[in-house]
Amino acid sequence: MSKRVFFIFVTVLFGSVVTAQQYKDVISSYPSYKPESIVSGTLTAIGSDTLNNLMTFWAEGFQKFHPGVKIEIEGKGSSTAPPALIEGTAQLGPMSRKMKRSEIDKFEKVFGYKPTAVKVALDGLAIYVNMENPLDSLSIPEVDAIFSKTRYCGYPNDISSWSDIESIKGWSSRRISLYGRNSASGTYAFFKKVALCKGDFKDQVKEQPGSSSVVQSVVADKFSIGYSGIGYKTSGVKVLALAREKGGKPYTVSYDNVVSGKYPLGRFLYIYINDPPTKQVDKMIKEFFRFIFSKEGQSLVVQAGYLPIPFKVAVRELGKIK
Amino acid sequence: MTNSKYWEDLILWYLRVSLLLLLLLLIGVLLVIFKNALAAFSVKDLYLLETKSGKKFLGEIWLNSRVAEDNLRLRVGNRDIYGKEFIVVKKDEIESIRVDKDAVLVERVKWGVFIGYLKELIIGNRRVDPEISIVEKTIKKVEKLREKEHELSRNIARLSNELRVVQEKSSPSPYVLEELKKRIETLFKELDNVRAEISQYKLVASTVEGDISTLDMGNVVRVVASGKISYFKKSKIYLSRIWDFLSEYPAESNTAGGIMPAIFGTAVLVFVMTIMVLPFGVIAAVYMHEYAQEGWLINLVRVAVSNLAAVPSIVFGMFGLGFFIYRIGGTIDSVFFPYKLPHPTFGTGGLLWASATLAILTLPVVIVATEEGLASVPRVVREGALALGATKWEVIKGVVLPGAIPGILTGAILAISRAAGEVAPLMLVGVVKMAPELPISGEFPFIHLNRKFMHLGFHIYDLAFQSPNVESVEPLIFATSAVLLVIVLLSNAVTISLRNYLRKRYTHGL
Repeated sequence: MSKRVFFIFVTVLFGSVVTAQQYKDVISSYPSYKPESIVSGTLTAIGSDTLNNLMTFWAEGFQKFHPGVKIEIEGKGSSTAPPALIEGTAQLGPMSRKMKRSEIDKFEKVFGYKPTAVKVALDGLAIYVNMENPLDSLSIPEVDAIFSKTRYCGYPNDISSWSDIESIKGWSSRRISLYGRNSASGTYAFFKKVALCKGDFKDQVKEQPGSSSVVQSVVADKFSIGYSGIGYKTSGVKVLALAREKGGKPYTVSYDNVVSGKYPLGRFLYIYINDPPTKQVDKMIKEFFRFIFSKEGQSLVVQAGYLPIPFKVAVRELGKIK
Repeated sequence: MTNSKYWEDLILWYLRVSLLLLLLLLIGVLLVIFKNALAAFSVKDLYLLETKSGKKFLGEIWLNSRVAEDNLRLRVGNRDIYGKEFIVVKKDEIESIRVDKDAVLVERVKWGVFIGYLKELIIGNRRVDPEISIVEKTIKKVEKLREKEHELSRNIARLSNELRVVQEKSSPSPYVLEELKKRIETLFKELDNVRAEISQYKLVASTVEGDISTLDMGNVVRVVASGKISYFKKSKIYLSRIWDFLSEYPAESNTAGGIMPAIFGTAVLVFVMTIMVLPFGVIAAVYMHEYAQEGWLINLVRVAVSNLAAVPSIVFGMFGLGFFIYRIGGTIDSVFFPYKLPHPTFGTGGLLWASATLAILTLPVVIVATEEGLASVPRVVREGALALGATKWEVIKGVVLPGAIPGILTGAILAISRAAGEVAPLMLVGVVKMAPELPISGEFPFIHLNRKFMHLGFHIYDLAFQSPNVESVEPLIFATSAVLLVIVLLSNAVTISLRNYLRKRYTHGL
């Protein structure tokens, strides 16, 4: 291996890594958290598995300021959040996608008003390949042709083996083995909507029960490709830069690229709550969101491997909660 | 004649080999789990690695079957600086690699481990040479302060709960409210003071690249200078790591700290389930075996029971969710706790419903085993008792049931083993990734059956498939599996010895 190649290798390892320092400016624009009132009781969160770890970090942090608050967290997929909010089994519904029309309707039928969606963090959905793979970037139509049988994003032909990808011609003629999430997950739904242009997944996509098992499968399988949140990156895999159109400029999953929308698979992560328009929301929930949108809360976002949301957005989101 | 002998021999050999394979498989599984589990806590050497292009890495070597042969994986730690804990280097890119005696590994409660060199210890505005013994003393001191912090937090929690109860009253007395608020505020002030005191202690360290990093001692658990300590010290650290793992609460989204709540949750769950399933199963079996008239109806029931044993456990989970939680739990809430709605009390997953679900799941096992136990009591004994003038109930109570106890306990063993290992149904009926409180506490009513709980099996699942930092928790997965195995084996051993004792006692006279 030549020096140049090794240099690329090391930059792949360290260059694309999401470091805490990168977000100092964003986080320092937030005020420190100061409790407004003394709260106590139990908060239950049921929903996204992507947000599971972040919710746990927030819970641990929040309890430092409010020792009387207990937070229970269940994360089995975004689709479990709306029923939990409707049944009242949870006060917080973390979701890695927006609620669907049908889910909002069901909620409205029971309560007479819509659930409140609060954007709490940014996530880049990443396409992972094995470290040994020479591929560095893909375009969305190519991703579509790899994962989907419908190819609604407009790629002319199906991509089923590595030799079908032009930029790495000659590397291998093996079939591409595909890994993804199960259909209860918001990651699955988001990917389907954005990267497959609402098309259908190929039957060969191996659906994994958790975000990190997708990445682990890619580590173990040299000829594989998979999608999962950027927070689950490990050694042994490579994150691809993505371009919106074929032949377009590919962008990496950096904060600037996600915020500006240049990286095509950036998304907001949400917490849905049941906030009646006539009544004030529970003080405990209000305090919890004030904590999330504070210096402490957003640095925990970075610690969990996600991206903090811009302060301007945070102010607007906090304003939604009455 | 010789031909059939030949076949008999062949079959015998086949049986022997299968048995041997089975044993080897069992030993192999145990070996893999325990070897990896015990290795998780060992003190590893820190290596300084230089690549041909002049890059330096410092860390522990962590081999892994999934990393290709020609690669070397290092745990370099410092997730707050590098963004991740592991790197992979091609073996032919390595210029030199050696053990670094000066390097230390700092275990923290945040951001995983720090690996680098100690520079200074800051206490207030004093700067001290970071000798290991002094650092360790400081850690102890900070630990005391942190205990104080926890106690203050607990007191605040108690008082703020009281405050909420007062606030929720229809006409709270303003005097009591003020008084409580004042007390909480004083405690908060004390808490702030303690935290400020903790934050005076800092450890200055540098990474292998020479970047200076200041670590809060409040986050430091342990400093391990693996190059400089004796073998005895290493084993002490090893043992204390195991103890921490067993006795601490998890931290950092379950990737650090211990598994105490999960052990506790599993044990309580199995215990409550056993209490529920045993009487129920035994009564059913006694009726079926002793009272019910043999016929198509009882045979139908038997078939139903055996079929119940074959139903996949996740189906029981669905049943638990639909019937126990939504139906029964929802009704209990609307009758007894309407003032708490829409926040559910029993209308959500919890220890009670999880135990009940598992009780149904293991009911067939108990019924079948009990029936076999009942059948094993010789007819002569029953008839003898009847001949002596005992009523049917007296015979069952005094003669048949004691004789069937070994069978009942066999059922209990099977039920416990099955319940402790179940994960799928629990995910629907109350297991959580992080339960803030244990199901048993000093707070009235002491056993909180409505609380959600942590479970070892689910913890393993969570670590393996959903952990954000899956590489560094890999050894913990094995360690947690080992703990689960030990718990199941222990509870089985207790029941088996109880069974042997009772068997001796009751068969003595026969």
